Amino acid sequence: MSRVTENIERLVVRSLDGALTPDEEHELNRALIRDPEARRLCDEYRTVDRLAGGALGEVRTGRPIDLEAVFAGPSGASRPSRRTSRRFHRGWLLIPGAIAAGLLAMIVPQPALTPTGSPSQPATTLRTTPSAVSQGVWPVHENGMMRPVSTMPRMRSDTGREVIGVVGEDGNLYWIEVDRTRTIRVPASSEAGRPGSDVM
Amino acid sequence: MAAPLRDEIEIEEPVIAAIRTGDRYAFGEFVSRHEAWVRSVIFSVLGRTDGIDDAAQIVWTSVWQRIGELRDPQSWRAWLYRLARNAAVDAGREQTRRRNRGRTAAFDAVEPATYGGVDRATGREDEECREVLSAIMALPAIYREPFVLRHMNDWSYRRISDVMGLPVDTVETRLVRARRLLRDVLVGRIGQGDVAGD
Repeated sequence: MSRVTENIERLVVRSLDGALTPDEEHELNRALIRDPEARRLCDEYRTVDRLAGGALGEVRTGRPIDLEAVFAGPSGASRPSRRTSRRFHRGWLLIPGAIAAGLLAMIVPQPALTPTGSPSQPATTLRTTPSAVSQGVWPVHENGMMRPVSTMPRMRSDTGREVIGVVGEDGNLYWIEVDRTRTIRVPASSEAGRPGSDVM
Repeated sequence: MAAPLRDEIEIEEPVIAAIRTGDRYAFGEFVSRHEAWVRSVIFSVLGRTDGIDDAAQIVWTSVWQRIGELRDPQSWRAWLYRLARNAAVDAGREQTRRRNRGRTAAFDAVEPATYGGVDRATGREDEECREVLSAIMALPAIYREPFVLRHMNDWSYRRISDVMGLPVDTVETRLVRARRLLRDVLVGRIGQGDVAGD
């Protein structure tokens, strides 16, 4: 084998596979005539092919395909390509998704931010003191959320909270129940913080 | 990948079109024409003879159910090859799982001598066949696959490269190396007289 070049080996294999060109066939014949090692290699590969063909023939046949079992399943004849179908759905889902996102952006206000910039917690536990309010400082939420007093009466809407605390001008805290499904608009000129005022 | 061979497109395109309309007779014809090479693909990937029947059943069920997904009927062979290959890979994983659970001791004991339910380990010829099959199964997968496709189906380099998505030169190189490995193994296992003397 060591004397047979890789090129001759390749030609031998191509010969066995019926892939030789006329020039290659001529080259191989010359090699086989002058080189006994090439002839030996050719014989060995031919034997390998014969044995492999016989052994693999056993694999060709086996249990017949059960066509009735195949037909028992759904046929793909009436079904469109799954890939096409998925693309179709994806594309059309973008439209209602965009509409919903737009509506949500109009309805939901920007959340109050903590001094660190993170979204605030629901204001159900807002606490403050009359003195703090009268001095114009920020009421402090139990979770650390702060909100400037000057913005409190300007509450506009909030669909994510059930109750909102509002500090009135008199320093009292008023809890206002908010309908979660409604948008509540309070004009800037309204007196939302006035004791007993009904913003609903 | 090179374009599929024109002759086989012309033969199979009407059959595939009929299958797409739900024609069961056309499907049966299609199965009978291509069942053997689908089995060869499964065997070449799986590297074992047990499990071929079940995987083949899965392949043809998939063909029937997913024929609508075949966008380009001209590339049906590559599509079918991928289905067969995926089924074989799945079968291989399942066998590995079962083997890891210790449930395939019986399979290992009989493979491949009693494949097909027939005890073929009788006589010298059967023994030789078993040895050769074991040697083929022991080939690295990248060499075994083109070798099996070539020898079971008599496919050209071009067709093998088409379905495998490899350059023709690569297929040729792998076929040379597969034969080299087999010769080295079989010379020792079967006897110099068999291989050299023929």
